[in-house]
Amino acid sequence: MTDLRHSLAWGRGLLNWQSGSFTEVPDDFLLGELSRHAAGKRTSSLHGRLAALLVLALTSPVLLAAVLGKPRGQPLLIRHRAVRAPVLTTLMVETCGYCELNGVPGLWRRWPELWNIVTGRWAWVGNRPLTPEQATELDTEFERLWLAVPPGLFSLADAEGCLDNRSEETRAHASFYSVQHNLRADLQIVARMLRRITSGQPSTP
Amino acid sequence: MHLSSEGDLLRVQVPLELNASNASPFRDFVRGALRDEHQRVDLDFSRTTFLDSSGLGALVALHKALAARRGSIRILAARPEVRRVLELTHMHRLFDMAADAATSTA
Repeated sequence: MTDLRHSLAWGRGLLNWQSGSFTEVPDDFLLGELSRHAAGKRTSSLHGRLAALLVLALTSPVLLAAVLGKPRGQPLLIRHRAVRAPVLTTLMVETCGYCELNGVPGLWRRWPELWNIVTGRWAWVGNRPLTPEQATELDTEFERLWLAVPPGLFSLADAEGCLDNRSEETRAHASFYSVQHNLRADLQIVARMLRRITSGQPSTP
Repeated sequence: MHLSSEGDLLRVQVPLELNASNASPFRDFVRGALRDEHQRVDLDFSRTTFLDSSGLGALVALHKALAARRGSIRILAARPEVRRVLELTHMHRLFDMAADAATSTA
């Protein structure tokens, strides 16, 4: 990451208002339109959000389990920062926060993310959130499709058992999902993830 | 899967479907067949009718393997249904695309 001061994004470059210099940034990925918010394109419907609220309420004992199960001295919620789609610039990344629940196993650690669905910022199914550092590792236009859909509680890569955000396979699933998703595929992914949760298969947050 | 080698060229016949069930073995098979002299890989898609996200992952992995040795990879005779997936995901910009499988030896 580069530290940038006294500058603003202007046209296809960065203007330093103090020195008057202008640096052209030819890569659209690095200097996307600030007004574009793909994350706002498609999150959950009202029904989806209400369902998330219902699930959040029904599974609230998870919170108690986390309080009892978390290692002493560690926080209950671990905060993370994720890039909102699309990446605006590595110099001025727009991010959103989300939390992971400490003290519970596997996918239950994602429990607080249900609230993000309730508030309409996330979808039930999307691509998993990326940290700004992970986002800058997306090398190609193909890989950057990861950020073309909003973050989701579950992802196609999850359903396929790919847990490493940095693997080529996970990136391929994410890119494919971004251009090929539909309601049927989303329902299949949710069903597979529910089976995974009930069978206690491992997962990273 | 059928392989043939000619000088620095490795030509691979891609199976009828490249999906979750065979993408990883396919990737490993091609990687294992790469020898030091191979700088070009031609993937013959003329028989392939289905390509999913796992298949795309295998293609990306092979692309990176070839890029690491400063080689190139080419997709030959992709059918419309396969080409559509490659175009939607912008992967057609990663690879050289040739319409005809016969051009691989050119």
